Amino acid sequence: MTDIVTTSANEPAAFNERVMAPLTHTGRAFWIWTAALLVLVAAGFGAYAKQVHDGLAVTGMSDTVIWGVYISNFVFFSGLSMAGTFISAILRMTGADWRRPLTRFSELTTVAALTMCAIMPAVDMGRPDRLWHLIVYGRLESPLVWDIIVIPTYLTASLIYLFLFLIPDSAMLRDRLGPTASRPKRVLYSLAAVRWNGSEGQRKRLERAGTLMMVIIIPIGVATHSVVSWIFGMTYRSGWDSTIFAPYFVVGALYSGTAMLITLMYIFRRFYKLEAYLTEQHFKYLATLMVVFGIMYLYFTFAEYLTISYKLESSDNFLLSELFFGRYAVLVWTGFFGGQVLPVALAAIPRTRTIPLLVVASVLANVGMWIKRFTIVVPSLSLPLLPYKWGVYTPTAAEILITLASFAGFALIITIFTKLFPIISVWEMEEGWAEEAEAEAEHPHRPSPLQQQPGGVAP
Amino acid sequence: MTTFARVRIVLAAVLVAVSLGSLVVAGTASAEDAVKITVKVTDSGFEPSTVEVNQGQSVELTFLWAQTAHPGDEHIIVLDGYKLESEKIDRVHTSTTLKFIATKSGTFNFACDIECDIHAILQGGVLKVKAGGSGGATLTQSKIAIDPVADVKVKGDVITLLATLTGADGQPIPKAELMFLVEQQFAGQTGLMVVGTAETGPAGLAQLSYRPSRTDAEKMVIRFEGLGVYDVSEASVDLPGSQAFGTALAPGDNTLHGIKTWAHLGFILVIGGVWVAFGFILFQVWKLSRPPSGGGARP
Amino acid sequence: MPENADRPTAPSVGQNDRVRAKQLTRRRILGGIGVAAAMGATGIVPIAGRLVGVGEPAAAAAGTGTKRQWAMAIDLRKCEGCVTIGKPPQCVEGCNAEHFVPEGQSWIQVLEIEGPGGHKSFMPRLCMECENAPCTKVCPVGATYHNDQGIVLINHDRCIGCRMCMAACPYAVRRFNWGEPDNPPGATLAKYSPEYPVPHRKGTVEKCMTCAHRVKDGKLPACASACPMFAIYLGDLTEDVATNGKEIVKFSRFLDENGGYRLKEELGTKPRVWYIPGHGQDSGHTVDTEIPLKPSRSWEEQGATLSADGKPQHDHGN
Repeated sequence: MTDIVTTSANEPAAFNERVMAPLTHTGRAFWIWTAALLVLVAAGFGAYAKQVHDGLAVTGMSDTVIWGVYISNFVFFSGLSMAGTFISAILRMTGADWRRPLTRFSELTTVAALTMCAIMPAVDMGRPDRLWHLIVYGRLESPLVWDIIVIPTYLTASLIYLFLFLIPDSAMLRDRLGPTASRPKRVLYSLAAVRWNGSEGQRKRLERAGTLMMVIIIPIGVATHSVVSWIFGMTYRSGWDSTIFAPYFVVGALYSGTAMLITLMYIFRRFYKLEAYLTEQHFKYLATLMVVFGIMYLYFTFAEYLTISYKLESSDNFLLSELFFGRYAVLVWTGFFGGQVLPVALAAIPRTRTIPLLVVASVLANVGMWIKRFTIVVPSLSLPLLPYKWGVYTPTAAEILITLASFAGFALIITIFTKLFPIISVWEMEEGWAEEAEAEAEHPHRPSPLQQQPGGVAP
Repeated sequence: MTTFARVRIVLAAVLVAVSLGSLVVAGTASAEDAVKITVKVTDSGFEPSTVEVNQGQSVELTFLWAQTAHPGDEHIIVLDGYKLESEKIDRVHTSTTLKFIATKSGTFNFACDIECDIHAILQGGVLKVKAGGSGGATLTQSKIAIDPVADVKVKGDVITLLATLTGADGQPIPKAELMFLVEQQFAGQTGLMVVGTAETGPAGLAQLSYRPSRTDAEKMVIRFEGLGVYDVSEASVDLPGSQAFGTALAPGDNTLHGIKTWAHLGFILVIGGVWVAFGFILFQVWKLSRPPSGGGARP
Repeated sequence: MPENADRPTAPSVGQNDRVRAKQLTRRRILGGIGVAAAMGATGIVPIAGRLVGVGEPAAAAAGTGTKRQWAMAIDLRKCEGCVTIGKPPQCVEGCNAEHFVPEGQSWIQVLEIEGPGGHKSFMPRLCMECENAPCTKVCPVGATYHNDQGIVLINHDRCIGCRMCMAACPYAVRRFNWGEPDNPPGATLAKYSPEYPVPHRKGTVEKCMTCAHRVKDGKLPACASACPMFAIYLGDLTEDVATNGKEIVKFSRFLDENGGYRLKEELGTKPRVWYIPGHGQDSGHTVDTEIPLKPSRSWEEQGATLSADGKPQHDHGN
């Protein structure tokens, strides 16, 4: 055992045991769940193989509605990826103590969502065999190339960020599970631990690297979602031709990403029995963030639609009447009330700010945000630019299968990770307890933030 | 930059007064003199309002200002079909004459063309030309002779063409339309392309601003389609090659496009900086894996 | 069928252009590889492609002699949508036959516009060949570009099918080969070049391109020569001349005198297709008779353009 583990003054053995349990014990439910995900992913691959063979004709897209659910998914996943690292970095920078159990799976969410986000445009391409053209012929003027540059940058940054704060835990795993684990796992742990021994010099170096990463990952995250919005914002199309699209998308991403964190937190808490560490207080903190982002998003929505509905340029007029009262009205209002107003209300009203209702709110928020992305992408495309007929778009089976597969892939990445590494950062928790013990030694009567939490784990 | 190279193409009226042609004209004219008709412009309209001639007759249609109620009134009479336009008549200049040969049969309208006091009642003048008449009058020749302009340098600039149109009788022909055409070949088509029209003034002078658009020499044809007693005539001049008229494709003509270079540089610097930072962080990780010099506490 | 006689079966276009394009490609690849080696990362690589100066393919290389700058004008006073001759729009038919336009697409669209007072008029829509083209700006791989004569072309060997250009085009003239396009036996023999993109390729973007292969040979575009009303003019901005196959006009004067306008001028795309406004009357038939526009047919039903051995299979439709 390394120093960092053994020297912790208040090491609760129970925590260690609980958080390590998924790594050593795998139940039947897990296998069923993983198998289900694998089946979905395989179905997606099958659909994709058909798409490669027959071309995009297997989708519901046409010359008018040229983008569909693939691009909606792309925007959605980039949104999910936004909040995890962002929240983790902000909370680390501000030294908020309640971050400790949240950082690991926040960062993981970012990596998983971003992987799916990076795949979606490739799925949408008519000629995936020419993907390498982007590298050889790439032009910096194209908003798509901005994405091609910024998304891998953000993915790399997120991986490094996840990896950096995984090093001490990997060392712990190497030492604790090393002798019993299978050979690949042993290699993985010892590689990921990069000879970490918890010495003062190593801690300083890690802290320096980590701080630098926190500083640069926030603007990268903002840039990522901005360039996603500019794919739309750089066109002349009504509904897309908007100057506030970048911040609008960034705030929407924070909103849906925070909601996804709440959903995932509940799942981990429930299935890995982490009630003692992922407490109601954590839900409430995240709910507060969700309310803030949700209200900002409502504000942006209002600003965006007020400006175009006030002037009512002819094409905006057509678009708005279809969005609000026409063929997209059901989707738009469902997305608006079900995905924005209701979740924000549930999370904001103290009486409804309970764990089950917050989970409902977070799921609603993400369903709503997916719909919102769909109603950004599709109606603007189906709007005729000249007196044509309205474009019609209905996703086909292939598109639905690939969409489901992308969600399954997102879940699969998270699932596999939880079997390899603890989902709560062990060393950060221990560091918290150590600081707490120190503080208590100096001021015995001051309660720590963790102690305030009902069901908290402080001794 | 609008420097106008003013090129005067002097279309001197080369008139040999005693020519065979004019003798012929004079001969026919003397054989049957022009029909002289006078129409009074009174307060109640044209008097007479209907005029009748035979086809082929030489006609002199005189309008006489004879108003009492509107002493300040003035008129310009136009005759449709023959494209004729009279001089202005008023209290001082009371008379104007349209001279023409009634080559076309049918019913034509003459009317006042300016906003005079009795405009509405001066719209109904009728000229009837009876078909099959044997007036026997022939058109007077008109001629355009052109000086060569070989030494003129034109570089994509606008040039001003000055042309004087005169009849064989030595009289300048005013209020006549000259058509300027260029022989052109394009996309499998060959033909004369109208590049402009101009109306002659009182001295028979017409002016056209024209910008040659060909790099090779082009042949310009100036055409007079006949007016009144004057017959059709045509002349041509060779213009030297010019510079291209049109714009080459230049999407970068907007100064804002100049920002693009800097935007690229900034973008590259920012993204490059980020990746350098990644490298630095990974370097720190790599340093972690080096055994510390002072010996670690690693078991 | 007008003008099918002079349709090239295997156009002899662009031998030199192809060679030049090939050299350019190699330079670009070498540049790209150098960068890849230097940077060793996916994201940064395209940048250096810019640095070594292999930017836009259509960088207006200073040429010698007169450069045509193609433009078009459509006289809406003359266009009757071919309803008066009871046929589908002949411009679309001519275009389909010329390019073997795949089933389900038509590069030219004839819109039926209802004006004030219920008068119907027709508007054929070609590619606008914008000078400040939104499509060429957003293309991530430079597959769509201006040639030096102002025509926006597509390199179907480079297009990755992202459809960003279709999203950017404010005139909706671009089409996409969603599935495997039908290429009849005659078409598969044609030699591909961006100017004459036959045979068509799956997963790439298609559009009208002012018949670049025909105009460079001094011929009118297929639509203009097929138009029975001579409503479509091909023009050259350099020489300031235009023709509809019947008369030659000075282009600037023609537009000026007839009130030529461009679609969505306010966007600043500087299109190179002008319209002469219609006179607001129903063309060729009385107001009371409603004659609908006939949908254009594909090249398949115009037997003249096909080889004798039957119709090719096609099973997808959008």
